[in-house]
Amino acid sequence: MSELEAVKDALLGFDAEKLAKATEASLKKNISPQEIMNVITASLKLIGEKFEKGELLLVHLVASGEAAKRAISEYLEPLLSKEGTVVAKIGTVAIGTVAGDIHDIGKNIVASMFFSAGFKVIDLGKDVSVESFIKAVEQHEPDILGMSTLLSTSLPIQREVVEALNNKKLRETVKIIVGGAPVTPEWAEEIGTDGYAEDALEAVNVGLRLLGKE
Amino acid sequence: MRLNILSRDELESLHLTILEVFEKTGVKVHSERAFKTLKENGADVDEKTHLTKIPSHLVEEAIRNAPSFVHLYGRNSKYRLKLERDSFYTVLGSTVTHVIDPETFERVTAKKTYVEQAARVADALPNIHVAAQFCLAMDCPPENQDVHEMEAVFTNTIKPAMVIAYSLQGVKKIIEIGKIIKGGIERLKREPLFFVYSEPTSPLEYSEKAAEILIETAKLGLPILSAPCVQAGATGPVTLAGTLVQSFVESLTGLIIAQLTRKGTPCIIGEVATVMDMKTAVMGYGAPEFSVINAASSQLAHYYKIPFFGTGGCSDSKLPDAQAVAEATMSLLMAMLTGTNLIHDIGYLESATTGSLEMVIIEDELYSMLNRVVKGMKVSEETLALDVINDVGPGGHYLSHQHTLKLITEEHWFPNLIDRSRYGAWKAKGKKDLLTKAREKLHNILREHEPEPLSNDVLKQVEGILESPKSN
Ligand code: B1M
Repeated sequence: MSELEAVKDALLGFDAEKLAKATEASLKKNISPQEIMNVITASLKLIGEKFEKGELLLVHLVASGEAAKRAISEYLEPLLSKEGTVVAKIGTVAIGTVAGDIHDIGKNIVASMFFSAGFKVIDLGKDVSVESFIKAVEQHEPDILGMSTLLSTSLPIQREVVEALNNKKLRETVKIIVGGAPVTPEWAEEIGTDGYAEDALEAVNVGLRLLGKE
Repeated sequence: MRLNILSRDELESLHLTILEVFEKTGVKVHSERAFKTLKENGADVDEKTHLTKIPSHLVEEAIRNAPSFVHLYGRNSKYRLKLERDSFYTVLGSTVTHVIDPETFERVTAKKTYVEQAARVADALPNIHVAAQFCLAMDCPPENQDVHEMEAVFTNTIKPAMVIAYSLQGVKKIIEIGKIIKGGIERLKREPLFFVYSEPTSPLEYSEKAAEILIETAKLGLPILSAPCVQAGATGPVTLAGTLVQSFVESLTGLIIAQLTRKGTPCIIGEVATVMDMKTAVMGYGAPEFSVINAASSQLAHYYKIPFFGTGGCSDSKLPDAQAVAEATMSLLMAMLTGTNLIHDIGYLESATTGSLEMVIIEDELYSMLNRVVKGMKVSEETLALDVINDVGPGGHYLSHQHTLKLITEEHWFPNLIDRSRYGAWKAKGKKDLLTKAREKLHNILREHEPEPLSNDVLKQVEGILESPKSN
């Protein structure tokens, strides 16, 4: 098996340890970081497709995403940034669960899927205040801002974030996606966001569509 | 009839693992008050992260200090539920965002009217023992929503209720309402009209809000329930035993905080522990694994002699359809067979996001039917019927025998909604299926059932709590 095949094999085996080793071995053989990146991205895409078809489970998706994240941040990113190249990403997503709400497993899954689809993900955590969302937009200039809430009582926070972005003249700089059990497409529209998604897969598709990268 | 799915040895293994997780991994307790209490009582704490490792003697002492029974009362002393040993009672579902409207049968956003309707339905049905919010009063001001919901419950049923509060503020006001209805804190303590639900966060965290609500309730000596929502494979280990272990560590953390706050606080432990469906990322409320974890947990709680709150009667179906009834029947039966003292979330559909009153009606019937299963077979000289068989002999019949007449209603169960008529009779009555009959019964109750009203004086005082300012 070639080094690059080993990278693909490790990822399709959802094995972070093996992937790290295969990445290291590839670099030793002078394979370029970008080339390794391409294999990782293509493998993640394949895993995503298999999940969509019901051939793989959520655990495989999350495990491969986390394995890839580790290999990229430990081995590839440092080299690429030394070369002055930025890792090619589809876009940046900043995502958090809104203030008052500590339900975050759904948000974590959405974040993980965005990562696997090739986005840079900034996870703002749970119980995120309006100010923190705004700060994140100012600081990271994401292409997409994602707000998750599972609590009806925290829904108003989503509206407040949109309003605050409007007031700060930042609204036009970012696409907003909302989701979580009590969120509906009507609500998403009413508060002036760009998209709603019922689950993580749809969230990524909406994100791609909004960035014109379907 | 009683089902035990674990051996004594397995129970010991679970218990020892639970103690080890407490000592080795610990729980992050985010409330200052709770954290301080644990620290003062000998827990090994990390001031920065609030990670609290609790020595086994503290865990076992708290389990010993908690009473082995909790009794709940309705508005009057006559309605009493004894949560102890193998007793089992049903609890209405609680806080869903959507309901199936009883008139249109469409899935709609929850509002206060549905909370009131559900309480009336619970009041009317003999086999729904504990009321609850059923759904959210989403048309009420968010800062007072929990108080509105519980007001709607307490004014529409005489039965005891489960309380879910969204803030410390909320729980204080709800306790005030309880005091008004029961006539003071002493009577409320003696005859608790409710228990308060505090939820740890899996894995292994206790949020500030949940801990504060727990302490507030425990301080007054009112019953407290501590129960996490664990999803095996996501927020708990993929294995059912591992998920049970983690869930008990979380639930017992609440019990420990309650006992350290006030020794002897009536505590209920429990969980909503099931699998995350790894194809849809949905928490499986109709999953068979749910029933297995519940059964084992009920047994472990009995081993600890602490009342247990488990789950049954729920579904992942979007409608009150065949899937819903199949899933609800499975989990209800398992919960009843394992002496789950409180079986909650009757009427939950769609993974705990939609409530159906038709399902509540159907489950009232299911409970009655399954209760016959749980009653099992009585074997005595009289039931063995040796003399009766001899009496009737070959070729006779038993229809008119005194033995039959005497024992028929004790030995046989009689359905109410479930249909056993012959085809012609069924056709003549309009070919109704179970759901149609459930809807008719629901409409009857909503039209005709008037719960015993509270006195005007009490109502006025309760109203006052609702209108009292936020900072009260
Ligand atoms: C940015 O774009 C996007 C796009 C898509 C997005 C998105 C963002 N975010 C999510 N999505 C979508 O993609 C995800 C993946 O496919 C999906 O994410 P989900 O999060 O929906 O899916 C997860 C993968 C699995 N689903 C879940 O994990 C949620 C399951 C349910 C049962 C649930 C859980 C587990 C919990 N809870 Co809570 N809880 C419930 C939930 C009922 C339900 N079925 O939703 C709900 C949401 N809770 C509720 C309640 C009442 C509460 N909970 C509370 C606490 C908890 C736990 C801590 C016990 C736990 C969460 C913590 C944990 N570690 O898991 C309390 C509030 C705490 C707080 N302040 O946040 C408490 C108030 C209860 C109490 N006794 O105190 C109800 C709603 C209340 C409301 N006002 O709306 C509730 C519907 C259950 C119920 N019927 O009671 C999609 O929604």
